[in-house]
Amino acid sequence: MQALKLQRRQVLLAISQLALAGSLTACGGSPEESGTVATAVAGDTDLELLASVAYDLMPFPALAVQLYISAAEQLLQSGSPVIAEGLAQLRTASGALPWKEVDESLRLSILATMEGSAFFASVRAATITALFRSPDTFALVGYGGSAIEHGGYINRGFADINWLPQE
Amino acid sequence: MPAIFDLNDDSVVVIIGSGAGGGTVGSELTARGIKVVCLEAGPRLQLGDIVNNEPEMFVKLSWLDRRIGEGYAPDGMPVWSVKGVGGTTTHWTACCPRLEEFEFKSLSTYGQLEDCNLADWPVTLEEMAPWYEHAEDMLGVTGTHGIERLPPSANFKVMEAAARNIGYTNIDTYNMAINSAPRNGRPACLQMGFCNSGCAINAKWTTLFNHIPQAEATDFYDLRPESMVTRIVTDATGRATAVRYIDKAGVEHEQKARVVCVAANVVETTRLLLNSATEQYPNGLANSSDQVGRNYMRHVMGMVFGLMPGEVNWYKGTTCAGVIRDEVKHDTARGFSGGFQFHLLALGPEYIANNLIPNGWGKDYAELMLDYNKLSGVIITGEDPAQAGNRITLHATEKDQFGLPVPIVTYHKHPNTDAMLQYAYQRGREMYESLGATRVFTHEGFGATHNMGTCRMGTDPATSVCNGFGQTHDIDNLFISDGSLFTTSGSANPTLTIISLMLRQADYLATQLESGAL
Repeated sequence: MQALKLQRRQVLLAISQLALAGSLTACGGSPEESGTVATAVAGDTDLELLASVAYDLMPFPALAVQLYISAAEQLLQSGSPVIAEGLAQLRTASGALPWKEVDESLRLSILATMEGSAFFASVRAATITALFRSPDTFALVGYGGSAIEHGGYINRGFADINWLPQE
Repeated sequence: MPAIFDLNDDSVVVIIGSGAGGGTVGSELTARGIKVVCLEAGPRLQLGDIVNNEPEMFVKLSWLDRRIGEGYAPDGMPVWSVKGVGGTTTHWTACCPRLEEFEFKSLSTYGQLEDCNLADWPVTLEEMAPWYEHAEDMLGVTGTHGIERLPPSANFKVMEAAARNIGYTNIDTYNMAINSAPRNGRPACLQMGFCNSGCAINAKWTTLFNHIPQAEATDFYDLRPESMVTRIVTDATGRATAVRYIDKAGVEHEQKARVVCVAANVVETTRLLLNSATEQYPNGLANSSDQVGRNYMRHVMGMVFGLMPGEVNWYKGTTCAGVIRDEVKHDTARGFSGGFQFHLLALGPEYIANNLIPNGWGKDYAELMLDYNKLSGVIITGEDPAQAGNRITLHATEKDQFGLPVPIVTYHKHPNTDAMLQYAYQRGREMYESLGATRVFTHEGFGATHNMGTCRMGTDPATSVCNGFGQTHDIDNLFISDGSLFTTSGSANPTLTIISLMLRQADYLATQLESGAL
């Protein structure tokens, strides 16, 4: 449990560092830009917050955090009020603490209350799109990707299976 | 050589759409020296445009203009059809069962189901048999004409073992319009697994790389892609005389026509007929029966996935080359009328991540995704009873980029459908659990790829739109040339039946033209 907490903390830290490194052009979380956000907590930009929500929705510790940042960038670029409202809701729920410092079980309970929302659906969809079009994710789940350049699978084990009971 | 006919040439047959229906009628008529202008809304892809990339091909192929879904039809995309030369034959999985004899006579066989509008076809399996035979030869359907069936994939082996465990026996790698060996200018399947994204080597039959080039070789075929038809023009005598369309540059043209064949798939065919209303035809063309747009059927559809005890690597191989036919029968002891097939299914990881568990998320869900390669799947395709309230209509105010009303696809499941699905899901669960599956998932409610019934054929003009040849009752020279004319859906994937019906229609139409009757 301790190791997992540490791992998750490391991922969230990495998200922050990459975001701050300016690998993005999306807006930060200043009140002027995001309208409905009452206060912007220092270091808790919209991008970092969205990326960490994306990670909580679909956590693959083995994947690069850049994939989660891409998902967050897509969402922010859409300019959708649904995203701004969702972020405001999360900040309200996390109170004085920046989102990434909220205890994991509390973060997950807060997200669970938002399960039926358009915000949740949008973040989930964008995260899946960002993750599941990446060759790294293909390799992780064992999906072969494009096959034509390898002559398909006719000679690469399309019929192989080793656990079915023998006839 | 592709032909170019003058807009004022009123001796041409104008076909709207170039898919299974439009492509077939076009190539049959031109083979008999009849001039055809084919207007296709979408672009013409080359073989090199087809790549093994699902999201990329989804955007290249799919009809993505706004369609509103109501009820069970998903609002974002109620229908998954293709906008492009070849129509949905670029996207289809090439499954080619025939309709069963009893499925041509659902009303006589089941009686009228409550709140349904069942009817019998005006043709029988016996009349259709020679046309099915011809279509199977043309497409190179495996399991017919001495064509060997495709070899079994690992995913198929799982399905077959599971099916035999629960007593099914009618199982094989299916009747597929995918070459198992080179035939008719197409290579053998390489088991790449991207069937739904277009076959990048043309092993899977499509009108795009087969019928269309054949038609163009005759000098009688003028195909105009990126031509959106907006209206079928009729004259004072009530006949169809021309077709109005907007080209790629946004310029409107009017092509005169001797005969018009509408093959735009269910949504667009309905829209076009309704949008072509005149004072004489206030309810739209060919719609004195008020059946245009009604009786919309999309098949009973559901997926079952098993999380198996070992790797299946289901993505290695065709999407659907496998079938269990045992449930294709009418047996009310099961609790419903009509039958269904299970056929093999394999899906990419993005679709699975989106849909394996509705709104699935979190650590457990991500860990489940890591077991992607242990999944095996089947899809249920079952008879969908015609209901008058399942229909395609026009939005009262919302318009598309051409100023045409946006279509609304309204569909509700009948209790018979739910009973069939529950039974089928239970059998699917038993199948996978018999092999030690640790979990079983079901999924439904996706965009319809089988779309039928909205211009049904029949003998009575009061209750049907066209006759057994697809010739509309109201307008002699207006034909329905796509799946809209199905009277019942049966449990069979519709494309082979569409093509067979169109071979028959083209023969009838050519004879009418040659004799001067039309």
